[in-house]
Amino acid sequence: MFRYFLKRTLAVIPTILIVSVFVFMFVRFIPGDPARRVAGPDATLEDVENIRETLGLNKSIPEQYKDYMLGLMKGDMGTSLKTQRPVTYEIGQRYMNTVRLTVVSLLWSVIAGVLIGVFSGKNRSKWQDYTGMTLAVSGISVPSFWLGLMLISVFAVNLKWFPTVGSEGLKSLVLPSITLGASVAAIIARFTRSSIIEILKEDYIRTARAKGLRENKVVWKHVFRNSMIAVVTVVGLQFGFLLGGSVVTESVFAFPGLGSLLIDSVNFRDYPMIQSLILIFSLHFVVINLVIDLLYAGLNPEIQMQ
Amino acid sequence: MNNENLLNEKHEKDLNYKRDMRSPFSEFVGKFKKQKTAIAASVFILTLIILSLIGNKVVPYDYSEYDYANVLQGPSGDHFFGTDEFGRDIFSRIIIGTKISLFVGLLSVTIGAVAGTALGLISGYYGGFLDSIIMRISDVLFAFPGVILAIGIIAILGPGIGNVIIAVAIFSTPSFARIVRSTTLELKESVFVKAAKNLGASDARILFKHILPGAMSNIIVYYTMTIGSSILTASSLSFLGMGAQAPSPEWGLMLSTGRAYIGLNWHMTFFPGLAIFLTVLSFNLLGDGLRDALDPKLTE
Amino acid sequence: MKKVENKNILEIKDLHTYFYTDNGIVKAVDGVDINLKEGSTLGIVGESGSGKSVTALSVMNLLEGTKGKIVKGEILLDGKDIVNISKEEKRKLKGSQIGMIFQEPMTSLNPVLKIGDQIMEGLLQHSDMSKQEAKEKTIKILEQISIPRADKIINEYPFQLSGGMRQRIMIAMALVCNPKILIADEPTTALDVTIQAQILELILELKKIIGMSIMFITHDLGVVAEVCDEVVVMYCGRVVESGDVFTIFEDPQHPYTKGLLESIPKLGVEVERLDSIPGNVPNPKFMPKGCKFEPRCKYSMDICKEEEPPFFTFDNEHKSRCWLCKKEYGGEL
Repeated sequence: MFRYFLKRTLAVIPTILIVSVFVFMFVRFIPGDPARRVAGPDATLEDVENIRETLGLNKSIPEQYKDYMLGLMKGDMGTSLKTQRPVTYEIGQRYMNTVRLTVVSLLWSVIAGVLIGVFSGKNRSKWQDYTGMTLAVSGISVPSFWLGLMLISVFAVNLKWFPTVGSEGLKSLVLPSITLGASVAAIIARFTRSSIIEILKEDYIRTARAKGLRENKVVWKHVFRNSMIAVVTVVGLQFGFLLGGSVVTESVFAFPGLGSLLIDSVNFRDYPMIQSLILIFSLHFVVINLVIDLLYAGLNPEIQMQ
Repeated sequence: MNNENLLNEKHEKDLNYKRDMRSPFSEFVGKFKKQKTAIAASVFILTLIILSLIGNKVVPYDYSEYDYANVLQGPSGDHFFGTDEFGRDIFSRIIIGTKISLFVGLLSVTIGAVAGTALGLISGYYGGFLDSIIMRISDVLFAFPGVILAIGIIAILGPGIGNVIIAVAIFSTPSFARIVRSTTLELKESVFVKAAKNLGASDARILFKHILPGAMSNIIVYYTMTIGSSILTASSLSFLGMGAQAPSPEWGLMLSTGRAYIGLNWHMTFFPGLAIFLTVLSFNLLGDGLRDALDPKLTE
Repeated sequence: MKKVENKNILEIKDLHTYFYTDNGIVKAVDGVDINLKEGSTLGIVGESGSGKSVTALSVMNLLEGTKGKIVKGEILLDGKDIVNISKEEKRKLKGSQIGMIFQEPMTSLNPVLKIGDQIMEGLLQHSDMSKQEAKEKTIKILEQISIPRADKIINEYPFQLSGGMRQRIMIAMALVCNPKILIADEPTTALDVTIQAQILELILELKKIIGMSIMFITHDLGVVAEVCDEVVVMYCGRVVESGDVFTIFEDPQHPYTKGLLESIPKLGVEVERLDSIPGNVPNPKFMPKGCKFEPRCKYSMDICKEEEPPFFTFDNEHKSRCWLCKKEYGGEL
């Protein structure tokens, strides 16, 4: 088990390295003269040269990469072109907000998705199933920014139950996390349902029924655990969805997190910031997938025993 | 042994044999006809396609005409979906906007599907070094959450609908490559491909005559399902100001303009959003229907 | 193989179980009468599709979740009907009164639960035992069926065991509540020949200890000869011949039974073809009008095409559903 964990963890390192190269190359992908582009159309020649200096674009590419990686290891991600403050500072200001938002969204969407999936799957082709699956297909089809705006319109503007924007207190998390989690809950519900239906056909479920177990026990002990092994694997992918979705949701709710920071930075062509945010998003995605992988192993006795 | 198998296997074989006598296409049509929601979805999609072609002939108003006497009107008999901040008819704008959303969705996924299929075929069929390279790159692309990758690409290329198409095409490519690769790996080992190889068929012939048709049903199902999510992504990017630019009647952009009026003029956000929702829903329902009709594992 | 003159512990009367599939109704069991005498072992024999497994599942009430349904008939356990009772009552019978083992030991155990847990849960469901007591009982029954290191095995997972071991676990699981009846659905088919013999021996041994009655479902008449007291031969959802094991083997009346007996490979006899019955079981959509076996029968007569034969009863409750039994067509009755 320990060896498996170690092996999986080490396997992630090359991916992280390639991702870092990719993100490093990011600014260099800009067509034409990156410094010119970053500086914007109204910049003077001096400004452009300053930016070239700040971004380190006047050195050779390997040298630039070395500087970049050394900086990263020291926790230095460069300076924001917009605020002139360190990127790490700006990110640090907002990091926890996004973490709170994604964690709350992931939690409710996994719980709701799994429950809907189980009830739909075990009541296949009955009204519970039709209701659950109608909800689910709507959930994957609804544009989150529309859902968010509609929620604001009804619950914040008209009913005044929740604040329209911001990140003050738990209440401000409710509407954004509903918006962000809806599609993930829907995807998990669909996946759980089909997994439950598959498992219900297994021979060992017939064995469990032949023992005269209560149906609830059959579903929650015998079916559920097996189907969760499959469901856990998609939760990792959904986390990527959540990170991407957080950009849109945070922008709708003017929520001060990393997603809205990314949008601001793109609009301001704050490339050091964009670069660092993309790196942070993908590192989280890779690490979460690793955690999910290990969790999967933990659920599967065959791997546990090795 | 599944419960279903309790029925005589031989009976099943007889039934299958009879079923096989019908052409695969008529069998597919037979199964697809049973999917009521998928039929409804295809009718809706067909309507959208027609609207995108003849939209400018059927709209009640010119979608771009300012009418300062009638700004921010709610839905009424004159303006079904109301008017926007310039007095433009939202209903007409949504109909004209159909073209943009369908075009972006179809084109980006088609590029992604063609590129992904080609890479998947090469990767699965030739294996070795090419395979590792292609799969490594797709691993790296998978390491970025989709929307983040798209935003990154737009940050480099600059905002605009054309760049949105490129961004969406790039991040849908690896999924197609994976799906086609795994089917190719399977089919490569099949008897008929080995037989064709022994008979001296060229690689191109094997790939296009034998393997590609085998992978086609998976590609079609995934293609349909991806159109929906691509339309969503593209409209999200326009909503964020990275895609279509004013005064385009792109649905996401209309929503983005409407959010400033959310309190009093809900119709400005409601109807464009509904249009996106129904369009994406139709493609997803169609995809579900196709999957159920094409995937023998899921039908009983 | 002694003659058993006991009361019937299980009576199946005029059972009809149909499957409502997308391609029409399949009459998997179509008017079946079977009696299982207390303390005896009854073999139900037939090809796949004869309805023998569906009969068992009907008795076990395991059709839920399939497209199958009992549409007519009675099943009496100890004289009491078990078809028209509540779901809850049916559930309580399963495992405690009737235990069942299945063909596929490799897939019939839950891969993510420990062996001990899977055996114990039946006990915990049907009795007031504490976990500790249930665990002790589980270890005891595992020792009874001579499984080595029983106290270790209960903490292992199915993938750590061989096929033969898993089938033993299945047996322990089915018998842990001391049921009155054990239904064994092709319990040895998926196993090696040597393991097969061990499992059969084990079942017979446990029968002596626990004193249950057994319904043994198989397509292998060789196995029937070894373990059964009585035999029921099924074809196309019907019983075509039944009687005690001696009579059936010495004096089979139905051509189908004769065909099955001929297809048992005999030591030292060269057989050209194993399947001495030509053709296949008919498509359920195109069932013959008369005798269902007629299209494959080498003694086929005109009446066989027209009319389905009734049961003809010989001495010793030996019954056969074939026109040849009738005097008119050269038979004894």
